Amino acid sequence: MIVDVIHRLKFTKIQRTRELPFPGQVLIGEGKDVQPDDIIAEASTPSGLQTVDVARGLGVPVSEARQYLTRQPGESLDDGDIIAQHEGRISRLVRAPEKGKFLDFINGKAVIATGRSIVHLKAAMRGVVETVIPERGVTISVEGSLLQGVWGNGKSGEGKIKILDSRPEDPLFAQLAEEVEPDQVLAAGVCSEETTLMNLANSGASGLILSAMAPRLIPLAEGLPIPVILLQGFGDLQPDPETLSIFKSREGENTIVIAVHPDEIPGQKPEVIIPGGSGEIGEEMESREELSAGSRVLVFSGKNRGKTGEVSDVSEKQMTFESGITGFVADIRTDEYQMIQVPCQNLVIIKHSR
Amino acid sequence: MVKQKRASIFLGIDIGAIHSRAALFNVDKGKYRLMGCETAQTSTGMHLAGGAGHAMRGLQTGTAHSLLNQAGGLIMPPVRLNEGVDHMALVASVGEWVRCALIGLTEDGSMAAGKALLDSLPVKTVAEFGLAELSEQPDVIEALVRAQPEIVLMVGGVDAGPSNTMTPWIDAVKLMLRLTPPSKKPVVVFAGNTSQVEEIKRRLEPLVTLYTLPNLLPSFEVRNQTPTQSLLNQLILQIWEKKLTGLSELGKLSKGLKSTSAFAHDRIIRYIGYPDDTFEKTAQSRGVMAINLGAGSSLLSARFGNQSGTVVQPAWPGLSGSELGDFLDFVFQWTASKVSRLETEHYVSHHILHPTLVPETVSELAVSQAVARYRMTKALGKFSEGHGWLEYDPGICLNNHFEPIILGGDAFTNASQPGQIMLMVLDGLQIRGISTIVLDQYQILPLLGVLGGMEPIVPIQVLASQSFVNLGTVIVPISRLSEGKRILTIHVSIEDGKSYDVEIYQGTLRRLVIPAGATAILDIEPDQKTDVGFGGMGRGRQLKVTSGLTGVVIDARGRPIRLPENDDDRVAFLRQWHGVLGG
Repeated sequence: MIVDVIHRLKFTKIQRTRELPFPGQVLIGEGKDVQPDDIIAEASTPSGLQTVDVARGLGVPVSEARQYLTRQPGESLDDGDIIAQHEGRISRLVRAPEKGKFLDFINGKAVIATGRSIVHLKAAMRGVVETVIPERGVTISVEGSLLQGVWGNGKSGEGKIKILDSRPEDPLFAQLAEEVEPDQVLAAGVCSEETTLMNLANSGASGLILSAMAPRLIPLAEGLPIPVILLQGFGDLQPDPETLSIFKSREGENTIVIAVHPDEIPGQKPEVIIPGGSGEIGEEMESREELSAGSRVLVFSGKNRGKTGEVSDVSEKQMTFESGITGFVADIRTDEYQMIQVPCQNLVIIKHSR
Repeated sequence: MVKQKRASIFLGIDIGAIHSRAALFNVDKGKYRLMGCETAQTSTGMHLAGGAGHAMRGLQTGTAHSLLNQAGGLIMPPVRLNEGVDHMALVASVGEWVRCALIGLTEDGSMAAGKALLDSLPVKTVAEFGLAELSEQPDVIEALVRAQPEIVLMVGGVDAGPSNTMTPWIDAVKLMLRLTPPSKKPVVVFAGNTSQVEEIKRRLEPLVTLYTLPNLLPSFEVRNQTPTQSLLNQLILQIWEKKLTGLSELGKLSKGLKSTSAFAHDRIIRYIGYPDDTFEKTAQSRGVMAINLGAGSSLLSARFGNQSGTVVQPAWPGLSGSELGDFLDFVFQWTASKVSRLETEHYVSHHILHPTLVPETVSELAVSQAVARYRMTKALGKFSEGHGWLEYDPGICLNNHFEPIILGGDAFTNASQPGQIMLMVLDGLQIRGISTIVLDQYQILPLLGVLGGMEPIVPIQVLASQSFVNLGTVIVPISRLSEGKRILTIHVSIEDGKSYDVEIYQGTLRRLVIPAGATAILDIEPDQKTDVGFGGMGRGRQLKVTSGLTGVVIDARGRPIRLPENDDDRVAFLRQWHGVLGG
């Protein structure tokens, strides 16, 4: 059984490709350092389109209008430039309404682009440009801690990480926001109240890393200007001990939160990157992997929802669950030293550094 | 003596969002039958042949029919008895929905026809512009460039109408193409006024891959959807083949016998629902409907006389969309288990994040079956938006009669009891009159849609086989009498000689226990204020039925089905109904 993998690595090499939606210009070279807000590439398309009815302006049939053009598609125009002229008993002129580019002449009408719409591509992480993909983007790499989540609100940001001192088994409470200093990225447990989420967001924090959140807070979280990332999911799921220990070991360090929506960039999960640190670089990161004995897993659903542990065996025969549905199951030794059986489909692998 | 041609052996491969299926069709005792079907996990993000190969290996073990050679390649054509196949058919629903822009003219004419067409395929409509937007052409062009469609569908203008109505849109698309970088240029499909075909070819063909097709709306009354739908189906597959590793190789093996699941589903219902010469649209007329609630999408296809259609929708609403609140309310209301609203939210939100989840507990199964009801309601609502002939009052009842209604997809096949499936259908579709509910237990209906294109007898014979399970006949009387009043009397005569009378009271759900497969004659005598679907109030008739797994079900709960507001009472009602049907 192949299942999704979430990486929680204390030290690894993180490589991310950033690409423009369509070809443009890459603004940075290989080997250069980048910061999350750096614009690394841009592309532009004509915008502010205007059509000028040349045939009507000259009083000539559409089929004849082209012959009176004094400027041709492709040329740049200034405000008031004559684009067509008909010398008759009364001379008639058609002028450009604004500065722009003469894009096309269609059915007796001149199409002029008076602006350009520019798409900027941000680095969205700290690191070094490893490869330039001509006209498209770059691959950036950085060494540090990587903690992937399961949901993000579509925003990104950075700051020094602070772990909010709440007991893992208790939901966060609003007063915790009083401990926050501006531009800190807050790592905390379960958020189930609107007031708490709002207070944390209004505390000056530059990002929120939560273990879990009530699903009804999704619209609120999506409307916040700062990134919000959920590491375990929705409800009251607690962080696993290894994840917590990574945060603790990196507390106070600069942290980047890239809270992409789960399906925003195919294959990319919402993630937290803490550059720096040291250790042995782990193996290549796969987004899906075969579930096997030794896999560290999070139970995503069912009566054991939220539990973490290690797979001791994966059944070769299908079994019938309480619901009456049959499927493959995994035997798991939980972090509380319980043995449980869980449908394989309800597991995600949490990949930690070896 | 003339040597008889050997019947072909077919392998069907279905690559779904979560599961890949391999199915073997061969002749047994003179008729095509499903010889076996095996399922494996779709190898999403990897080579798709991985999951398909796993299913094929399971299939060859299960059927003792070799499909793969030692190198893992498909044996085609057959080399001996029980070794190899003649043809491979492929259906897929695994790909990301293709971005499509719709450009047309009138809202009720070409735009409505275009929308209904796009609703029938796995496409995401990223831009829609009709007559109302023509005056803002420059803005439309910019919006089209930004939308980055992979396909632009242009419709509009009836064939006998003015020959220049689409000209402004041809201008706009031409400019849009000029402004779009080469790597992002869409394919353009024109299915509008045929008198503008030459003009569009002259002006757009130098810039882009252009397909011109018969008009989608040749006159105001007639839709000609199939040619455009068929082309879009192929274009979607081509786009998926470029994006998904392994799909192209599987496609080559199929030698053109391939389709998206949605198109194949549409096709099989058009085929088996083809009306005979006697079809007239009367109160007793019957069409055919099929619903597939798969892990990745919901499909609903229906044919009623000469009209047909399909809608395909994502299985789940987005976590951030405005639909989520209504969805959660509905699911909570219809969950036949004492779970809190919060638990429902947690389960559903995780399921949206991880569509592969399976219900482990009884409560989770109840929530997922409530989700199935929601999906059917939404699919019917969407279908009726695009197909005016479907008489559906959202949330109240479906007035057209469909028989059979064929069910497929994990949401149904995951149910542990036939009664659960029956109840899901009755609650989700809120049908009236009489119907037979059939379960496509191996989920092969789309494959039959593709195979039928090559060998029309395959779907006919396989549909009549045991691969499709008769869940039972349902009778849904609609009565003006108040709750608790007798609305119907049925005299039941079973082929084994047993007979009995049953009185049906308004507000109740009853199951007539008749052994599965047995034939029974039902003398149905409705009250004067009760309509059973025989052409009006009080009209009764004798009905011959073959009993299914749930026997014969009489749903006299009324339409719409009303649930108590109190949570305990509501769950008690839902459980009681499950109890009646053996769920």
